[in-house]
Amino acid sequence: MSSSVEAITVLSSDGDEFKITVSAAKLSKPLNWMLEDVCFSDDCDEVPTIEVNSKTLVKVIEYCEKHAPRANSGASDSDAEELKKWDIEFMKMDVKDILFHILMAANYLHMEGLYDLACQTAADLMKGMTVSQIRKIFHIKNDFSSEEQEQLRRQHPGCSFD
Amino acid sequence: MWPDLIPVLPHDLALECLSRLHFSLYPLASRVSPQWRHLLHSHFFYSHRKKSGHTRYLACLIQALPPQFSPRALKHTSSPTYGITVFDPLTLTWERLPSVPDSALGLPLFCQTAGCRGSLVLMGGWDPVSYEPLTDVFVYDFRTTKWRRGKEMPSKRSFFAMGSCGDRVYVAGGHDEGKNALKTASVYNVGEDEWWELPPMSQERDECEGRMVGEEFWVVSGYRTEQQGMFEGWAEAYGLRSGQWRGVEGVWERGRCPRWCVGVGKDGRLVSWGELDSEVRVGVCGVTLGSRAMVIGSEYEGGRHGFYVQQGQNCKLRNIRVPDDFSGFVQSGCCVEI
Repeated sequence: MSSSVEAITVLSSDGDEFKITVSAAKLSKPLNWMLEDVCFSDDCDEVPTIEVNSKTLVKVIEYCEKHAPRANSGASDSDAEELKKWDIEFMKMDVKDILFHILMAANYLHMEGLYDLACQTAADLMKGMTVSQIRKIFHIKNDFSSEEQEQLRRQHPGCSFD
Repeated sequence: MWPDLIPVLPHDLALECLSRLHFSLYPLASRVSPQWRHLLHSHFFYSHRKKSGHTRYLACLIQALPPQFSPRALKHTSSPTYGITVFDPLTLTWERLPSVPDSALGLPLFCQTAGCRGSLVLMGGWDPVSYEPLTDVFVYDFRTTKWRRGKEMPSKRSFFAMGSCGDRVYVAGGHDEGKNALKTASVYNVGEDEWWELPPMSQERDECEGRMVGEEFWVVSGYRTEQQGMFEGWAEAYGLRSGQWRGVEGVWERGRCPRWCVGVGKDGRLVSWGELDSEVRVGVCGVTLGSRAMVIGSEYEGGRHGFYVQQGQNCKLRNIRVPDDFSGFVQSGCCVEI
């Protein structure tokens, strides 16, 4: 791989162009393969497409760029602590819009750290919510039958099912 | 197997999200949909989380309740009432479990506990007023946050050794109603709610202590009826595969009472929690919680007891702050993996 290449251009599934640095792309195996393909191919003008929409890809690249220095060189405890705080801020996003897309992108791009973070964020979302808020966020229909619901109400007096 | 857990996500991704759910949210989450309910209450979910490293180790402590929680019927006595405290060493949070069914008088005195696949099993002990030995068995399921009664212990047994592995709880030794030391042993299968008798140990062992060491149930120390208080320096180990007992010599200091204070080192050697640090020398109770441990004890007789967490083996004890409601005397404890 030529050391002069510092960033590559990729296309999102909506056809927008994005730049990602070589060191950041190393966080994802599939991205890294694409990068090697681009660098070694004779036809350097070809821009690879990543099957992730633009809105999600912006976030994924932001995550990669932030985590790249640590992933590539190792970091001190204080850096790790700082990165943890950054992750929490990073995950404060409109859930319906983007969290599940990020989760699927992290899975598709084999990014363990982001995958774990997104799964944990989804799980932690439920803290302090009502049952109906959870259903709304996770797109779940209430398909307890009315008999089941009645039985549950009897078993859990005082608990809300809405 | 669990269709449409989260309709917008592929199944395995949805399962990964739910696997990371904090256990305190299970009751809420199990009311979201029938699919979630079936999943959260299933054995599959527990083994999946265990395999992927998402179970947690909680300390369940038999702890003296602050006076305001004492049932009225016991107000006139001086003995404290006990309840079950749950401590999460990761989040350093404290909770109290609801009281056991039909227990107007609080927990049986000196009842014993073991953790069993997401459940807490509590058995034996004495009636808090009449001091009659009891054979009740209670099982608390952390997934449903409910107690249920289990099949009663086959015989009256006090101060016995207890240990658990998988779905089974092993008990051995202790003493009967006539204060005769026992060599008998039994096993309780929590899932099947059934008791079976095991072959007896080679000798009686009152006030012995139980620990799982690898694939063996160790019954440590104890004494024969005629040797009151003269604690043995050896143990007997029941092989879960072989179904046989074997003697293990020289694993415990002769004369030292093993109640609540036996720890198992990484190499399988027994240690006494009280020797870990001078601050927990007296009245020590230790519970191993995965790679951590919780140790409670005091520096001298009558001294205030402190609560400590040990982060890894051979690490120093770290004192932890305890809310007032949870600072009472801890009689015993066990670990529940959930």
